[in-house]
Amino acid sequence: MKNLKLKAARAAMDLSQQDLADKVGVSRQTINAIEKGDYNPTINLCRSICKVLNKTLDEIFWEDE
Amino acid sequence: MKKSVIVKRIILVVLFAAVLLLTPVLFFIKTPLEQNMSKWTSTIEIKDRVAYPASNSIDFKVDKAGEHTVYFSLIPEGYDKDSLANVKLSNLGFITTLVITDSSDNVVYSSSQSAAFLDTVIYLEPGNYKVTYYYFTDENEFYDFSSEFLCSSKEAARLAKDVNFPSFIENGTAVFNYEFCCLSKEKDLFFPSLMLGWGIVFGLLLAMLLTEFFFFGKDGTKKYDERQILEQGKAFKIGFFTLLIIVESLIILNLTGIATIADYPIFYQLAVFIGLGVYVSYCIWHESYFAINEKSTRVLILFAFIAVFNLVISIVNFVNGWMIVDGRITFRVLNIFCTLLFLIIFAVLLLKRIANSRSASSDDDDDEEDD
Repeated sequence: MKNLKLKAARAAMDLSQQDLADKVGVSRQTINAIEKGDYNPTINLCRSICKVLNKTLDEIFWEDE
Repeated sequence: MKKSVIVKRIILVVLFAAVLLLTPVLFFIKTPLEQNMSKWTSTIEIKDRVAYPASNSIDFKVDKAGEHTVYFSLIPEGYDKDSLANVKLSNLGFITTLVITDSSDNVVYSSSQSAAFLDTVIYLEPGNYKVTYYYFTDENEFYDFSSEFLCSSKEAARLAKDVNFPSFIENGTAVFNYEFCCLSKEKDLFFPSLMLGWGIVFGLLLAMLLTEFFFFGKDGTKKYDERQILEQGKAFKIGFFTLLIIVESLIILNLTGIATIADYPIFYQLAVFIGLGVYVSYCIWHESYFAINEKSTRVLILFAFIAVFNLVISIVNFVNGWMIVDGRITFRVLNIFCTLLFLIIFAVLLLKRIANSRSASSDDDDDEEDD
């Protein structure tokens, strides 16, 4: 399932996938895979992404009811 | 630059220099002259111009696989060495034909009829063999042979009728004791093995040095993220099982005699190539081959260079006829497989780029363009 919240949060901060990847310390393809729902990141990576995007884990990675 | 990178580079340079400086030492290591020589004796009796038996067989055993020089030597009795007909068996084909068969009666070697030279080098696997050799049955046959290969027809006629020639003594008997000699050359493999080992170490160190200084850049480290490490693990598993299946298949195929068509290590190296190809292809396709922020262009150039380099060596080997020797495929054929491997990897890289660009355009997302 696509992670549109992450994509939206990234776009809101005017960051490209590469920018976010550089800030988090992963490859661009990994950010792309997370956004497309092809890869479930570890909690450590989730936290890093949330910190960069100034969001909580719930806001980015928790599914809506 | 990190301290560990500096230490790694220093170790690499020192090792490379050590290998380079040790090269001349290799040439002082001579191939041991001692060779395994096995001999078996046999007798043919020529009575009243008739050879008995006209053919003979000797059973012999080969302990180790390798090149074996087989030849006959003649120990004549009552033989006039000054005679014009002093035909030396080892170089002029006194025996017309020799046939070597294995324990299952399969012919592993057969000299052509009226072979002029009987010294021959053949590759034999360990096992029991039988050599059958055929003698000239009468002077007419000897005349035909000598007039064709040894001398003029006039001289051949004289040779066949020569009363001094023991084979054709009228009303008499000449006994020929033969020694069948099998010169095993497996000890000679020591030096080539050493050179091969040295070549592999030298090549590996050179490749490591080149990649360390020219491909890793200033940082000298490669960093993969968690997804890439996960995918590499999956690729490793698939590559490993591919290798396992191929090796097991080879063991089964070996029972069908596959080893006779090529040097057996070729098949294992081929299995390694296929396993490696699967691993690298999977990694590339799942975006885990290149480290974070690593550009693929340099690797593409490197792979293209390796493919072309091996292709050139393959052509040289093919032109010189080194790929197939004595009807057996030699290890030199591996250059072709290496070329194919890197061409396949190269193709997967290009396909992935195309797939990425298509995916980017369909998603209408500029971010997904590959580097």
